[in-house]
Amino acid sequence: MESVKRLSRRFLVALALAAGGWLTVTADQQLTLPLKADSVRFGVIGDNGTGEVPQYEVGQQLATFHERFPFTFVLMMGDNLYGPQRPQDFVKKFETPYQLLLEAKVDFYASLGNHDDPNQRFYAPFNMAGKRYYSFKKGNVRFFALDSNYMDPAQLAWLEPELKNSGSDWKIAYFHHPLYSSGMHGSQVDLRVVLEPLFLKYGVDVVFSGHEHFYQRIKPQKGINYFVTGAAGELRRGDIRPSPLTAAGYDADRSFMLVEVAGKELSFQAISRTGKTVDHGTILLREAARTTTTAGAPGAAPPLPH
Amino acid sequence: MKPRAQSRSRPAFVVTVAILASLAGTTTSAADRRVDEQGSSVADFNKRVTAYVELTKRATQGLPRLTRTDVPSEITTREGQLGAAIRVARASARPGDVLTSGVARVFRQVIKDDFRHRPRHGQKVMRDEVPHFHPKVNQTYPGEWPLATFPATLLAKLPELPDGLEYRLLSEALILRDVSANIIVDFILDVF
Repeated sequence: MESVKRLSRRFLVALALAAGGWLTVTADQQLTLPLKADSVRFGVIGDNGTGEVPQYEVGQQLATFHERFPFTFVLMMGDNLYGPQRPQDFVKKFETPYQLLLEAKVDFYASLGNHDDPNQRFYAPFNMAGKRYYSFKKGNVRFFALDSNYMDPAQLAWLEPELKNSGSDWKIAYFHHPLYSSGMHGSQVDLRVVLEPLFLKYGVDVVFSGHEHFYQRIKPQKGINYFVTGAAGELRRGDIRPSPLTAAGYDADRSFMLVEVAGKELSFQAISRTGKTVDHGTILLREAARTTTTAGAPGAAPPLPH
Repeated sequence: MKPRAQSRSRPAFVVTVAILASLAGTTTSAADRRVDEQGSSVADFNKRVTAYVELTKRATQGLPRLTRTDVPSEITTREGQLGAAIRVARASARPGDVLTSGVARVFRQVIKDDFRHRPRHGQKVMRDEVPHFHPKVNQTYPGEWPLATFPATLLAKLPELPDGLEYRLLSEALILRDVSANIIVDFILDVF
């Protein structure tokens, strides 16, 4: 029965990709990440759960890159399932588009977006352990998945000791709403008021968010590197407004990120639906260096005008 | 209501109420009286929340809990069962049963005041993707609408709720939502 289900899902993936005229592997699909031994490797997707062809194409692209960059888990920035959240929606908007990764035993760690029913926290493949917010450790990195939809005093009271006692070199927070962004929704200042002081006090290095349907790398703010990556399903084309916040941006197509942490270096690569690298670079651990070094890639989106 | 939550939420709430009273330009004794009234309304609200939690515990006793599962239908089925049991237990519930007119006055004032003092961008963010539907007591939260993000700084001004209950904003209303059962427990209109 299970094999029949798997086959039918494969058929659905193939059908969806064929309907979208999906591309075969191209020379665009270059890997810029260093692939160092014993590194922590993961993907980042946001605003993905549409169940439509572009989401499937991004899923396929993730699977293709996984063959050359065997990441072991994926962070989800929320809006995991848009619209109805019936049992069939979990299949159509999550299990089928990422079937190849799930079969390869890639784990997904979800955070909740404003389109998500908080009861998704009980869905085992989202690895939330029944909690709206949680943390986990991989190698020398501690990840903090927050619920930015409902940042109540209880969550803040939980976060502070978690950050303080994390016992990791790297601290990476992720949640749906960006503290800094140049899109339609804009920076979530209200959230920034309560989170940023904790991030600064306890040395959070990197923050990933979604909500805005594009990719944007923010210039480091008070030493923290922020990424907006909310276009793994939805897209708001041309929505990155000129802003002094932007270090790099891409809003012409869907996108996702691959990340590798090795020692005191974090390397990132932002990739489009068609496999084109739209941004990449390396960040040093805050304690190791106060500066960020980033190299532009051929074909990468240049920083937008300020 | 957890004792921890009550002790944390009350001082902030009393401060908020006192500021609102002074802003209203009332005399000291009138302000004091208003603070007392508002404090009583909040205390009463906390009791009603506790009563709701107790009622739902009894109503859903014996039903399978929401637990970690690979099977999505288990989540939706259990959510539906919890909602149905609570609806039966609260069949006579009416608007204002939990969010009484007294506490509604206080919450309205806190929310309106918070909204008025936000910069334009902050007001836009607060009303971003806020659902436009008229709530009903015991209604299942409609799946086609997102759950509007609740501003963190406003949340800190309202009494903290026990696990499983949350405040959410609609276009013109504040709702009290049971998270596990996905139902609207009560609501207040005209909060902006």
